[in-house]
Amino acid sequence: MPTDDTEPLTDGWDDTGSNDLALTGEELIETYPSKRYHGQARERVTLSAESASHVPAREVLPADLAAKLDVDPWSHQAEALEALEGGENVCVATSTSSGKTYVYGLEIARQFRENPDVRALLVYPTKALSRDQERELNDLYDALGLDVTVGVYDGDTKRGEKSRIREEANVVITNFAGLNQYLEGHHRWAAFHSNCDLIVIDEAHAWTGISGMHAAWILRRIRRLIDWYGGDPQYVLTTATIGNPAEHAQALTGEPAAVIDEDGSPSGRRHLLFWDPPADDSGYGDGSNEGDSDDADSEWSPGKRPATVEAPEVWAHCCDRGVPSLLFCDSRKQTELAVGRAREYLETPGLPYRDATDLAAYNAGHGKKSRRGTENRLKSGALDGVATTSALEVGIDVGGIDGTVLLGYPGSRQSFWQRIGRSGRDEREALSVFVPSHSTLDQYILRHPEYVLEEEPESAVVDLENNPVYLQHLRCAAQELPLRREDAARFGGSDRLERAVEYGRRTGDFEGSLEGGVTYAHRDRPQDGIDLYASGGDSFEVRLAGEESFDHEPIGTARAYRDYHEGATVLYRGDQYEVVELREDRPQPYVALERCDVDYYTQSQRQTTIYDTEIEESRDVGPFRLNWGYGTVTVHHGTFMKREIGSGDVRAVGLETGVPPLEMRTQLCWAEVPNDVERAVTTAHSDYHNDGCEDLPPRLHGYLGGIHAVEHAMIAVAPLELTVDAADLGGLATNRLPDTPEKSGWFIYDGVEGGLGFSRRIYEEYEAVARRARDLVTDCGCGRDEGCPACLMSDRCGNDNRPLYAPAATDVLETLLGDGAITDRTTTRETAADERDERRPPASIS
Amino acid sequence: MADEVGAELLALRCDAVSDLGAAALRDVLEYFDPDLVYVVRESADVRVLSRVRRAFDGPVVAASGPADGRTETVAGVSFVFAGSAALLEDALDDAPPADFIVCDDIEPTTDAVALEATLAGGKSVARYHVRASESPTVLTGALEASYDHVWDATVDGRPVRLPVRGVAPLRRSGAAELACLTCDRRGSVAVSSVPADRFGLRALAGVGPATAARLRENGYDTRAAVAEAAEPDLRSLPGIGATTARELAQSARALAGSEVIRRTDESVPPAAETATPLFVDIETDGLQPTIIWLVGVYDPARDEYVDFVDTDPSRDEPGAATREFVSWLAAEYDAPSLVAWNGHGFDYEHLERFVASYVPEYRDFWREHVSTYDPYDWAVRRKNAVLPGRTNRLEDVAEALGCERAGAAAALDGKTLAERIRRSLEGSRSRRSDTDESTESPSEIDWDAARGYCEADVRELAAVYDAIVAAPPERGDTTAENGDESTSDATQTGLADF
Repeated sequence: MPTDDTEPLTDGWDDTGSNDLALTGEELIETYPSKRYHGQARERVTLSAESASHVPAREVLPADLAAKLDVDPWSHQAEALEALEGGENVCVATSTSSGKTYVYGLEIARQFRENPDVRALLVYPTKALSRDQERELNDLYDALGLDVTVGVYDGDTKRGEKSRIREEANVVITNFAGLNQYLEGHHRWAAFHSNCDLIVIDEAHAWTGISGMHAAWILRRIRRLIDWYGGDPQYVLTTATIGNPAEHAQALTGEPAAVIDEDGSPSGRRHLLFWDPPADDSGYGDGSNEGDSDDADSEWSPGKRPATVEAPEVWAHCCDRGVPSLLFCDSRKQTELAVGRAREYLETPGLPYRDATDLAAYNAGHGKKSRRGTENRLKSGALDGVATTSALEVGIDVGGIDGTVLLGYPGSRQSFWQRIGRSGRDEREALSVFVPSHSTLDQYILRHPEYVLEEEPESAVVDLENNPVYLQHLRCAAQELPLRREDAARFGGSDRLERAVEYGRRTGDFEGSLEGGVTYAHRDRPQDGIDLYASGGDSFEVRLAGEESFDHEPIGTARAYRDYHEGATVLYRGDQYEVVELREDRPQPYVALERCDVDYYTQSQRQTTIYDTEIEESRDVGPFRLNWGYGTVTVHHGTFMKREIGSGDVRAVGLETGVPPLEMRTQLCWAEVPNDVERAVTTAHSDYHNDGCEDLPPRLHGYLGGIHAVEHAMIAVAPLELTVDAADLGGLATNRLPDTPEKSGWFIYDGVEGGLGFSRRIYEEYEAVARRARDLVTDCGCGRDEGCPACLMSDRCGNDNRPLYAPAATDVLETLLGDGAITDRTTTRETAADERDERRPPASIS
Repeated sequence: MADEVGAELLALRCDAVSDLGAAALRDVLEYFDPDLVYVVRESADVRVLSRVRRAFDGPVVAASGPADGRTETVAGVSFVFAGSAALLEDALDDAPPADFIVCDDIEPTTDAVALEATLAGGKSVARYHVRASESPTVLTGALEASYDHVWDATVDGRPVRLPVRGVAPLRRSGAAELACLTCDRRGSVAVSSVPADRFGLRALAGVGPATAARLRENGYDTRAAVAEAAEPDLRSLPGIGATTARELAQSARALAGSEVIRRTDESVPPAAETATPLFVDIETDGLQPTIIWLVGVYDPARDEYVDFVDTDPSRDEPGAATREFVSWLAAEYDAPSLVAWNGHGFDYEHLERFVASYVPEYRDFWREHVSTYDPYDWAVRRKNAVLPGRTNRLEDVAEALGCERAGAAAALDGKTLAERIRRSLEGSRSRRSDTDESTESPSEIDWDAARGYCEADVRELAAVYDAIVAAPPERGDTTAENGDESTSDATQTGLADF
């Protein structure tokens, strides 16, 4: 830990004391320029300080190590070390900067004393973090006076270095994409594997969805090889707080782990404000709303200042008032714009600012040297504030930051707290401000602060059921070492493995049998076909037009069609690109990007059809029948629209993407609406009419608008329960279900071939997701029956968000949740129902 | 190849040979010397097809032709060509039973999500089998020549076995590999293959399509013409620099004169004054071995061949031969220098792995006292020499240097041996009545033939090694192009050799 005593004092703050936060939440509001304050502080929370809980080092470590360690471990570190000593795997799920590195760092130190040949494999999510951790571990071992060798082994490691690291390093740090490749040369790792005692998976919560299933299979592959060489490692997983740490550890590694989640690290008092941007007509007259036009008669507008304007101002205020702060933005461009806005704001005549506030932007576009410069100025206190992308979310030491401002919700609770937690290190008091943008999740959290403050965190989803991905990794495994029947326990069980082997023999990929050993029949490297971010092998290379290499991971077909069609804008590491070419008429399909600088973003709309559904499981939810299983989904992202960045104003619609429909066999769940409920809701809302839906029977606009809205709302809130990217989910509401055309209902499907396990988890957590969807529909501040972009509307909607009808959606959801609202209104039940059902017109809306 | 072995069927896919000029195409046909050429349906191109027809004076059958059945009998082996699977059911009632059916409709239909694979057209073939009361092997251009699977089908309640083999060129990074199938009357097939870009002028090192075109434009139509040209004349051609010209000349001389051309003055490792090489070869059960069942060693100093064979190979002790070999090695030699062809790519990798896990007590000896050398790596990957032979596979190089194999060893190849071992390992333990054929010839391994094969192999290796050593080192041009970059590049291209 750096000592702060020698740092020069600055006018803004000094960081030698511990309780000198310049502004509390209350003081922020009091000092905010009164003509700018319109009650933005919607929620004020003070989180109390937690004191540290220590365990004397000599109780958990051998005496010589304990003597050299100048701090006592926190209780959770001690607990984890104890579990490791007892032979258990551990999953450490504690807060940001709670010293998780020390858990495995000290475990390795302890083992090294016994056996200087001990080896440990550390898997980090990014290359940047790897270098950071290498430094941290080296510092630890220097302090302990141990000659533990640490090496980073990844794409940046030089050839000569590599063999030295394989031969000598006690600790090898790598990432999953690299690991996937290095497994093939396992004979070169023989000594490492046979002495491997520890596998560490850092930031394990990051491995969820598609990349999670790849990570899980890669871990099974490495474990099998280590077994072969006689190693027997324990696992350490570190993770942010997630809802299912034990289950997640088991899914990733295939082995049980003791969960350590009693956090012994200290924290200072924290003031947290939810800062809702004021109405547009607050009379600023500063031109911040220029570009807003009145042409949008059908377009609904939130009537609020955008968070992209409001957040930089709050941030500027904090920095000016002596609270050194980070502003978290979503893109590189936004960090630059934010600094500009903040400076403008501080210079606004009539506002009481001192004109000496030093602000800077920080993002990966700045180059290493300039970034180091910013980091150092931040640490030394020469800067009052930094606007950053997620680049400063983890890892890099930011020094004595007192404040954090979030421009928008970062998408998961874990990331929310991670960003917030960058201020107030150790026991310093801290100030944090969340400025929600006008999007579904942001608005939900603004209305339900308990979601981030109190409730169970979301669950990570790792699905091993996806057979295309399973087959890919089996091919790799068979190429690495012949597959035997003994491998069944690790690779899907005997039946599934047997079927997969037979499949591979028939397609010509496998030779041999499980009795004698199944080998890979070709001479290529199946590892090259693995792409952590896609399923099923068919992937597109992402190129930068006219340039040799571009360090963008390949993308799956579904994502290419959806977000990388010609004309799409792509935001990558904070930079804007336009897709200029999508080619798949060649062995290696690719998309080519060109840098661009435009003020709009694009979004494709999809048309969906679903058929050949196959029920694997069913259960009742209220009077509804809920099914989970497989189906064939055809998705056509045929058109796209352009919207203005910031305001979201529509610039153009109906532009052609040029991509063909994509058919996939995937996992889905669907609810069947009981006929009487359908009748009741239809009747109750038969008056509703939407002019944009001429092709739908007029009487059904209300009901179909209801189930369509339910489908949208459930997908929108799914990320609140599960670590899913809503873009990987799709939906369809239909008047005639494929296998039971006499019934209506709605689907939620996984947007990749073979499925992701998301719809499966939604099937299991249906009530919880439905409840959140209901809250979203009923609580939204728009108060519109047809919803707004923050509740019912979806940019992806293939039907231009028509019809959507909140009152019918509420009725459907309340009946589903057993709140019984609809039965009260269904006294006028129709008698000619049967006759009507026979004439049920087909109508599907995605 | 002797005719009694069977019919030679060369299968081409138009896109794999579309870049070949007339001379190169003739070179292909001369090299494989097929009895019959089959052009598969995928990527069919009439222009290429016409060129093939003009270049070959035997039967050329195109899958993209009219949808009719056709029978060809060459070298006593009969082939039925069917434009569609349906034809097999109807139109061929009066046709005599064939030894092979060739039909590109036959291929697996897959559903990876459900892990299901079925054989498209399988029903039609099965009915044909039943009617003909024979089991001709099915050849299909829809699959690569490495494909070999026996499908099971049922017709009217009767089980039918359908052996299916692919014929299409093998996909690789770089050029596809053309496959020639030796088909015998009993329905069995042996495959030999060469990358499509090793013919004509392209067989010369460093000659891509552009350089080949340039050479042709300037009157160098054949490799012989390039071999006879003076280096300065080659250098004077537009777009050909000093380095390329030298490479061209060396490579043409190597091929034309069947000799090794050294490109650098690097001495061939291991240096003769410090060590005597021991030539080794291992036999396994495949590319990712589960067992090493034979290790053959030839010591030229003693002129002695020694081998360590596990004649009762079992899953329980896959390292038995490795153990014998390593303990012998440690007893006989203080610091042995092993030489293996592509050893760095295969033999050493697996020996090291087997030593580490089955004979761990010798691991330190292996790591500290055993030196390993790989003349293939030295010559080809590190570009120190140009070898004669169409490919750089040991048998091709040795054959070009004039080492002919004789007797039983000539009728064997490593892949076949590996396949037999695998069947034997599976047969000895298999509970499943997988195939009735595999029970009739499960452990029919002729150990003497296998050892003979291995001995021939290491002796060939010694001969090739000697030829490399004997070739005069290149003078003057001392800059060996064996930097890191070229090594890693060459590893890619080198893959095609094995």
